[in-house]
Amino acid sequence: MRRATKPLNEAAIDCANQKFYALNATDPTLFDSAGNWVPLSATDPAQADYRSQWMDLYEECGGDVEDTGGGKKKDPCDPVNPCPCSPITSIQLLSVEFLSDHKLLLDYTADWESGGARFPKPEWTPAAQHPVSHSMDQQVEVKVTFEVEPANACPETGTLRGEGPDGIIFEKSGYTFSAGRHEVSLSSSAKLAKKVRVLDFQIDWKADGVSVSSFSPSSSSNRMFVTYDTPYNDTGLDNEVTLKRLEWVCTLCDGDSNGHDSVKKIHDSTGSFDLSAPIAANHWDIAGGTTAQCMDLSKFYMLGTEMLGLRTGEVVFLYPKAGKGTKESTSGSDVERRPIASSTPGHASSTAHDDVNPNEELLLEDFNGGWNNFEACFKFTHPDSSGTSTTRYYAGGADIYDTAPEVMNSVCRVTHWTFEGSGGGWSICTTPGPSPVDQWSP
Amino acid sequence: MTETRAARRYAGMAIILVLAAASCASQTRGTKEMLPSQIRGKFGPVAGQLLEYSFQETPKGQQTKGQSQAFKSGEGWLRSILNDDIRPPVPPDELIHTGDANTCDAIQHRYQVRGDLGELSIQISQTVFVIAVVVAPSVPPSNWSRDSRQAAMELARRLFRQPERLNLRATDELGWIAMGRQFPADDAPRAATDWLDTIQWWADGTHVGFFLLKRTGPDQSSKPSGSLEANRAWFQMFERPRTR
Repeated sequence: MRRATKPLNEAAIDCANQKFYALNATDPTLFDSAGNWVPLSATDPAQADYRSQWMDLYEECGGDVEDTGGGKKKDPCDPVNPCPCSPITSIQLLSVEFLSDHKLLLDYTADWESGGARFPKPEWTPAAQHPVSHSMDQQVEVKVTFEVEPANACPETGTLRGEGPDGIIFEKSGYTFSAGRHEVSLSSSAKLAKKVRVLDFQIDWKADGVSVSSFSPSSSSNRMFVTYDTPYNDTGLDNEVTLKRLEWVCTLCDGDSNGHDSVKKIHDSTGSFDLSAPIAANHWDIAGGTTAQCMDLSKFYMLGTEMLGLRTGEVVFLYPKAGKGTKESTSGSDVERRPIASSTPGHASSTAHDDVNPNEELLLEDFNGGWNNFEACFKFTHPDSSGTSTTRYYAGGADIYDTAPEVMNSVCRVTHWTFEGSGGGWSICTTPGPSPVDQWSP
Repeated sequence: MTETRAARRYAGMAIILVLAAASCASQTRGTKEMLPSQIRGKFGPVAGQLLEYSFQETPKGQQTKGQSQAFKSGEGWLRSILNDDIRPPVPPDELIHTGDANTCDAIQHRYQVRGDLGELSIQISQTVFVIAVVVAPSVPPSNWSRDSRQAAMELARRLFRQPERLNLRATDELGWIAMGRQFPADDAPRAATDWLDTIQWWADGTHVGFFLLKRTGPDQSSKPSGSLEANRAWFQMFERPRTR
């Protein structure tokens, strides 16, 4: 139960009266026949709500009130008096949990393999701070936990406020800081910028309008990796979101707001082409400089792009066709073939070309004399910096192109029909040829 | 002892002496006597050549970028195909043959490992598409001179990953040297063929050799070949753009 602290505040009384009777002008029991105010009864139970309302208004008007200890009449024989409440002396920051993070980040950093465990929540405590992955252009949602001391702290109403980087504010006004532990969920006032970022996401916490405004410690801090969207994987290959991988790709693309800029950086910054490299056991080794065949490089470009949350790419295989054409396929086994039995020009009936394989296949010889089946590319479609949807081919063993024929024109020097030998190797069919099939460039 | 067996044993001892002499040489190492020319030709032009090249020891600091990258690539292959305890020591001795009009760029590792077959001298040479492995136990098991295919199988299981897929059969014999190849499973799709399916082997009672191609299976972008024109240049591929 509250009561007005003595000495009474006459101005607050007058203010509270004015407001009270104005708010309840339709209740005839509060006015006499001349329209004058009828004072409230101090004891009538029927007017308990009115008394409470009046006390609220008195407080609002600047009058001081005090707690009388629950309203029960004190037993005159009870030697124990209720403790009076005390002002807040401290607010301890206990934890900050990110509710809007991707919930995918693993703590493995030993190498490029996948592994490790999900970082525990909450991401920030005074004892441990864990990194966070988050999508750009999204509000950040957190749950902050703190403790108001002392245990008998008087409730105080104020504003809970957290100031993050780049003007991001977390705020809850009219919040009552009462004694004990509090868990409060907050959404940031603004969205994260539309940029890939590696941020030091520090939030300075305070309580405005109460006895102690600063938290202890005064701030929380977490590394935040900001991506285009939630990391994604539709490749069937390992693309677990380990800290080492996410840190690598976000650091490489820090500041990017356009997907093509990021794919170009991934394309230009990783392991180089190796015509006869063994199959990639772990495509993320390419981030560390491991060389690879073009199909594995292209698959890695896709994994890196999907790690950033970009979904509009695919690996394609570009094959030369007789007559200097280009065939685009999503299959790596779509090479141009001709049946040896019915080829033009025809093979001799005694030919050994069909001893192992009834078909000959078209060889793509590049400008280094390398023998290829195809040129694999990461084909990525995304709005460019002007907002126009643009498709580009990020070639595994070459440059970046706008069309499939451009890729082939750049890589292919000459084509030949080849037949398979018993040892699994291929040889050029010079007879009956034609050999070469097409001379793409001198 | 029959004349044939005596001849085999003599030839085997001669090869051991050749290997021993080669392992003592510090600059130029060749193995010209390892296989008679009529045998070498049976494995394709590049496989046969690989046993003839004179390889120069070339420390890392003296290697070109292309040579250094070729070793990285070649060591990747050794990790892919060899069991862990058969791989070269770190750092490995690195030997190089630079190709010319009639030979191919090639790298070589030579080392010894000790295991259940005693000490094995291992020599592995590679071009861009071909790998040649020659193994000589310090004391060849007595059954090797009687059953060359068994010797090849024993060693292949010891050397290579995925031993359960090995199905080596003898296909030819010339003098004391037996030859054969891997026979893939009948139901194996052709597009899935990889390096293990390309194994060809030879054995002379004291040595066992394997040739294989760098095939990686489905969706492989390179087109492996044992031909001279496909294997001639390797080092420059890492130094020049492959586009026009």
